[in-house]
Amino acid sequence: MVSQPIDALLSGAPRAVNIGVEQFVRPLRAWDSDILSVDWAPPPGGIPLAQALDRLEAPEIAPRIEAANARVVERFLGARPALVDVQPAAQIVPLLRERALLHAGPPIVWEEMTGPMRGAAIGAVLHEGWAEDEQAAEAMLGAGEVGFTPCHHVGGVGPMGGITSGSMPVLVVHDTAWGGRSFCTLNEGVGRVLRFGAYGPEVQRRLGWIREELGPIVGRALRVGGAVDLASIMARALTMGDELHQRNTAATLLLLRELAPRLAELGLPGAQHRTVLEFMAGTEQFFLNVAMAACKVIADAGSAVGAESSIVTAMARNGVAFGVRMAATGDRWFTAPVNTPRGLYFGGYSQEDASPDIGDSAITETVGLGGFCLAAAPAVVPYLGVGGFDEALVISREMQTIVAASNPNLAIPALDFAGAATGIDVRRTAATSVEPIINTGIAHRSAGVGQVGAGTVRAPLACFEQAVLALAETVV
Amino acid sequence: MMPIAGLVKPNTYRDSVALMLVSTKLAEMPGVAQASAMMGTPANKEILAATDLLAPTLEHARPNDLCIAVDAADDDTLERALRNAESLLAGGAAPAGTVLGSTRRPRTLEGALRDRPDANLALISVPGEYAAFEARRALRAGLHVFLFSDNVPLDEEVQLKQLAREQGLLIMGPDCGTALIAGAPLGFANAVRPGKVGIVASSGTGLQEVSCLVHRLGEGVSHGLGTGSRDLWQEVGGTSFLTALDALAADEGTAVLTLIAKPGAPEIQELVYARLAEICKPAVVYFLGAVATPPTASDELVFAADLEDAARCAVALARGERPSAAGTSRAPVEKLARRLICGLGPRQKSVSGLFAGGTLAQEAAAAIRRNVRGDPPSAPQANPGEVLHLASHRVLDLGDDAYTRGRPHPLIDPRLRNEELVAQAASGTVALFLVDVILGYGTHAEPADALSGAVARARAAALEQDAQLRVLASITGTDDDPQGFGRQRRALEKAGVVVAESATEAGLVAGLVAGLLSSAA
Repeated sequence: MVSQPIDALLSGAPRAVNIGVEQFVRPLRAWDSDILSVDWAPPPGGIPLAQALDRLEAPEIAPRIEAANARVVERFLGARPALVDVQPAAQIVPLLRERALLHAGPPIVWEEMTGPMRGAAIGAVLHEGWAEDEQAAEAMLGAGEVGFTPCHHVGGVGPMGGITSGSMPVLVVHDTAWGGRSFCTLNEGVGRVLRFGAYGPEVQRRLGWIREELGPIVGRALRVGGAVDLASIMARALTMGDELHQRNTAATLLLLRELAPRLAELGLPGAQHRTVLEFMAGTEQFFLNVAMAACKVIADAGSAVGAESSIVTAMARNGVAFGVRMAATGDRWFTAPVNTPRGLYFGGYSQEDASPDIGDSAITETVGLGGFCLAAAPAVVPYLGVGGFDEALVISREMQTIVAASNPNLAIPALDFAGAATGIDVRRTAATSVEPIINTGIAHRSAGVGQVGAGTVRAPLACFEQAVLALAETVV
Repeated sequence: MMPIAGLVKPNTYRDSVALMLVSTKLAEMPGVAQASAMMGTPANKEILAATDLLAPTLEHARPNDLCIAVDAADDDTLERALRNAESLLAGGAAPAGTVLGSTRRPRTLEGALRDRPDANLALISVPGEYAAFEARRALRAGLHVFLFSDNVPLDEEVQLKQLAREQGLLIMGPDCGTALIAGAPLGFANAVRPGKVGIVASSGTGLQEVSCLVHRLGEGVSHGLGTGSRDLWQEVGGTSFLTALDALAADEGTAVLTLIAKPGAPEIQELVYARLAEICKPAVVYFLGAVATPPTASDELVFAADLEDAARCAVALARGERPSAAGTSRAPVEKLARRLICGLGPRQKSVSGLFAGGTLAQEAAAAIRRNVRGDPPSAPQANPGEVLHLASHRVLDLGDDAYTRGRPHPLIDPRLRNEELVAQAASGTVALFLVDVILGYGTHAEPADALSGAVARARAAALEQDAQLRVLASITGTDDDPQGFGRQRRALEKAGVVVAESATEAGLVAGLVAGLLSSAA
């Protein structure tokens, strides 16, 4: 008996894929002009990783993972984040009612923190009035009198250092489809800012204004005028040149279009009304923090149904370690040393000054935005130090090879309206050795200096390899 | 002591054949004594250390780092060699996407199948320890597999073949050097015209030699399916061999079956015979060192005596003629043997076979054994590449793992054989050298030229010992091969090499020469 496939094999020239020696391709071309050659290399994770991937590909296991991934993808694609309120962080996170701070990335202790996070922590201690001055704040932090918890552990995210204290107002985002909630601090604007580790009087003044005026006013506008649907703003912004990580110009204006009438309802004094509008209009990255909270609520919606799923539900950096969470293993972090971003620098600064990768903003890439749809934002491509728009297209396509789905709600015009590559699959990442790309701001390595550039950074492969090994052990 | 230099290219991968080509090019540079490019695996570093090439800079290389080691006359040469290595590696890199928005080459089979969803065959030649993973992935994806990689553990081979059978797929290999699917060459294959003869073979060079002879005799090949050298072993159970046999039996384009196998388990050979009995197509069988009792031969079932005989019988059957499995004819062979020993020096008493093809080496060894009375070797051969050591006669399979570990296969790189030829000629005791020249896709571009230089040096070395150099070669190839059978033959004859009509004939001549020398002694 001859099987149908074997019969078909002998019925004409083969249609081949070559894996290995390149010399075998050329002679075959005369018979098989479409022969494809895999750019093969041994996996850096070696035989143990190859064994784990092999196990996950077994016919009794692979369909279960695929089914789990389909559930997570359904959540990612169906989530409907809405900006509902602005509240002091302590209202949302009870532990911030004590002497405690939130930080970006996986867990880290004060002694190991890098410049930007330390500077922001000092700034937060001063902002909360727990210490008189910088020295006292540092002594207090050094003595372990302030507790630290990752934003991700309490359902939130924070930009760069991610330092969040109890009195800071946070944007509250609800998922009207699946019911989750997340939060993120408000964007402080440009220049010397806490998220990059600056904590001087100028920073303190602005933090005070955000706490006393901006936060409460925006909160009231939302409560009075109703929640703002973020899913539609994000989808539209993607067709207007934003990738929602390094460029939020369109999204910020779209948000302002929603907020302005709501603000007008409040009957604010003219000067205050004007200051609030001017700040939002002048802060092109204002929407980034909104987008981060939205992405967090989307990722958590997937995580909630993630048993046996190989999809990434968080990527975050604390300046020392890069952490990845996978749906199948819930809150567990897979960590590896962070890479240092590459990109373009403001005048007077160089790669030497760059802080290692930091911040929770990679939550945008986690759900398919930022670097994963770089092709949506031609304007920032040169600014990020990527080779050119061609390279941006190549990168966007490359990211499609490591994800589970493309999001039809997030169409990218330059990719012929292909949906954003969504749902990083740890199996594909480990098998291809394609490290997820992240668009990022670059902080100065010393506390207090602030942003020195912008660029891209790759998520370390080792995190995804660990996740694959863990998944192979988990799924039995 | 000549200076050594090492260069590490971190996280740079090239396949072993690409690296061997780099090694060969570097070693050919004037002033370079030896050179090696390989991945920095522990095993490879051991090889470098064993050949005094492990420069200090290479000691900490990791498995994903590419290592280049050069041993040269002086520092200038070293520097030039390393620069040359860099440019050779750059030239060998895969072309990056240059079209606007083009995609990079896929990194995995999954990615490749996205671009080519109708693919039906995977050619796999990655390092042995990863080969089974890739092959299993391909089979699970419903692809047939041509598995060139060797060093795949036997239990993995058994599992892969089991999986292939369950899926109704054909797996050729592991350790499958060649195949022809409807004329399309896989691995090291020759340009053979399409025709009615279908070949199943567990011997790569056996398949190449028979397919070329069928072509040179004027007929053609429908398909040549390799199975890997261990397929007829007890553990593997002939899975691929039987699948391939059934496939050719059902194939409309195949009129004559030709089965060529390396030694295997008798039970498995019987299984093949039993299957043949159910097939109503004429068949030619040539099992090297057959152990099972074959069924009765008939006009439709021929047991060939050697490779050439197998090809001739297959051609006869394809033409509807009655085959005579008489073995390759003796008369011209004997004449040639007598001519070759004319005028030899008094110390020239031995035959030396230097082979690239394992099956060809075995056939020659068998011919010598038949003609030379002598004590069979008392102990197992010390060198696994030594196919025969009987009286003073020796046959080496230079394609054996013992010789190719960390070095290019002689199909690609003739240096090892050339060195051996010159060194043995200088002893003045070899009466006849026997070599195989294998043409086809992927092998050395000008093998006759490469051999001719060595032959001239060997002749000079022999003359110093008052000895005559006699070299008898066979050429496995066709005129359609990139190297051209006729062109290679003329080049060899110009260099004073006697070219036999087939590898079988060369072996028979060598056997007779060995017999004549031994009886004279």
